[in-house]
Amino acid sequence: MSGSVADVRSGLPAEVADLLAPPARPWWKWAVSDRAARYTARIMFLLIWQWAGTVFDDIPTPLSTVEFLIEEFRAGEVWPNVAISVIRATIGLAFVLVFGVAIGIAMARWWRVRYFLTDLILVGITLPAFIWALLVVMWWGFSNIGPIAVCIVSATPQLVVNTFQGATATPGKLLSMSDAYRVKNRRQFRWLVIPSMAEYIAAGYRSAILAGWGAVLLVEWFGNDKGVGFRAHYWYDARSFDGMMAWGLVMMLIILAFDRLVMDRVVTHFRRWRIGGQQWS
Amino acid sequence: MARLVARDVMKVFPPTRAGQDPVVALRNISFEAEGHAFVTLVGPSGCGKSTFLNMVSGIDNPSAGTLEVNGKAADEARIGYVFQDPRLLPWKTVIQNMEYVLDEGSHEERVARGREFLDKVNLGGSAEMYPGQLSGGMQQRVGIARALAIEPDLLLMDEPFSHLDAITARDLRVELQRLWLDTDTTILFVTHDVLEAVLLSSRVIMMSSQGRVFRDLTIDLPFPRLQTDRDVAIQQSEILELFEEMERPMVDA
Repeated sequence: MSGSVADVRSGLPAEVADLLAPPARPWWKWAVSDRAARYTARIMFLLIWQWAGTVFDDIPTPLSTVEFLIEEFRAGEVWPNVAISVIRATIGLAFVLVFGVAIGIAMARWWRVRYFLTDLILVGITLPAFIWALLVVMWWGFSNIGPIAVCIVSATPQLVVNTFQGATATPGKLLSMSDAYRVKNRRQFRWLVIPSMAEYIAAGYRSAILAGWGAVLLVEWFGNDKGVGFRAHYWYDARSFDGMMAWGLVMMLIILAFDRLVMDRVVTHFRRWRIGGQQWS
Repeated sequence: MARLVARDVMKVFPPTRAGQDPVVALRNISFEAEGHAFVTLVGPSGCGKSTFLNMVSGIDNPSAGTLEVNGKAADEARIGYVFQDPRLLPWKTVIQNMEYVLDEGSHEERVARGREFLDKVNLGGSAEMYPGQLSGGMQQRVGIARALAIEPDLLLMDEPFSHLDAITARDLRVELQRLWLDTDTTILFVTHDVLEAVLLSSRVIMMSSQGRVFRDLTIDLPFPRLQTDRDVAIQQSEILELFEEMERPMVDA
C-alpha cells in the first residue's frame, strides 16, 4: 500500500523535502479557513440557543440542559437506556447491511428481481417510519422486536437504492477486460464489482444509519419502557423541557459520534485511491 | 508462440431502430498467422479492426466463420489484451492490477511475477502506486506488462498508443519492439496509423472501409526500426498509395 505524503517526504533529501513543504501562511489566514467556519457555526449555534433560552420560558438553555443530563447520569438513567437503544439499532442495522446489499445486487443482476421489488422498495421509502412505529406497537407491544423491525423496514430501502446504483455503475470496460483475461467470476466479484460499489454502499449505509436510528427512537417513544426514545417521552409526559432537550442531545451526540468516528473513516478508506490521485495532481 | 487461423469470419450487427439495415462490420476475413510474428491490421476508422480483435479475444462472437488459436476455439486460448485505454482497476495498486489477471501460483509467486514484468517495462518503482498517480504513458506500460505477464499464446493490441502524446507514443513503440524481440510472442496489432504499422510489424494486413481484407504485405525491414528511417517512410508511402488506389474507384463512382 502506498504511504502517506509525510512518509514519502521523510525519505527525501532535505533540499527536495524543502521544495515540497507547504508555503508559510500568515496567522490571520486561520480566520478564513474551513476549520474556522466550522467552529464559528458551532459557537453561533450555542449563542443563539442561550439567547433563545433566556428570552423564552419554554426553551431550556444549554447550561440547564447539561445540568439536567448530569442529574440523569447521577440517577443511573443514561448508560442503561443508551445501551439498549444502541444494541437495538446495531442489530437492526446489521440486518439492513446484509439485506440492503444483497437485494441491491440481486436487483442489478436479475431483471425479474428488479421488476418484482421496484414497487415494494418505493413503498418502503415513502411509507413513514411513524406509521410502522404505530403498527409494531400494536403487533408486538413493549418488546425489542418492534424497534429492530422498524429500523430494518425503514432503513433497508435506502441502502438498496444506493447499492443498486453502484452495481449498475460497475464499469463495463473493466468487465470486458476481465473476460478477455479469463479472470474467474469470484475474483471479478471481489476485486472489481464490490470495490466499484463500495462508495455507493458506504454513502447508502450512512443515510440508512440515520433512518434506522431515527426509527428505533420513534418506536421507543411510542411504545417502549426502555431506551433513549422512551426516556425523552417520559420527560415529555412530565412536561420537562430540560428533560426532553437533554435526551435529544444524547440522541444527537450518539449519531454524530458514530458518523465522525466510524463512517467518516470507512468512507475515507474506500476513497483512498482517489485521494492518491488527487495528491499526484 | 501461437497459430491464429481465421476462416471466412463475418460480423453483422442488428439494426438498432426499425427500418434500419443490419450493419455488416466484417466480410469474409481469412488469414493465418503463426510463430514469432508481429501482424498488424491497418485500415480506416470503423472498418471493423477492433471488432475482429474482440472476437479473437472471446469477448464477442463471429456471426459466421471460425477463429482458432492453436487449434482451439478463440475463447479457450490464453490471450493478453492491451486496449486503447489502459483499463486498470483504479482502486487497486499497480502490483495488485498485475496480480488480478494472474491465476497460477501463490499470492507471493503472483506478486513476484508481476514485479518481474513491471521491471521489464521500467516500472518496478511504481508497483505500490495507484493508476491515478501514473501518467497516461506509464498506465499503458502497465497494461503491456500485464498482458505479457500471463505468457499469452497470443497478444492482442488495439491502438494502444492512440491516446498518448506523440513523444510518449514514439518511445513506447521503440520499447514495444524491444519487448517483442526479447520474447517469442505472436502479436496481433490494430491501428489506423500506417507509419505505426510499418514501424512495428513483420506483416501488414490492409482492410478497406467495407470490412474486407484487400492486401497482405510482408514488411521486410530490419528491427529495431525508427520513425526517422528512410525505408520506413518509403514503405509508408507505398501503403498509403495502395489505400488510395483501393478507395479511388468508390470515390469516382
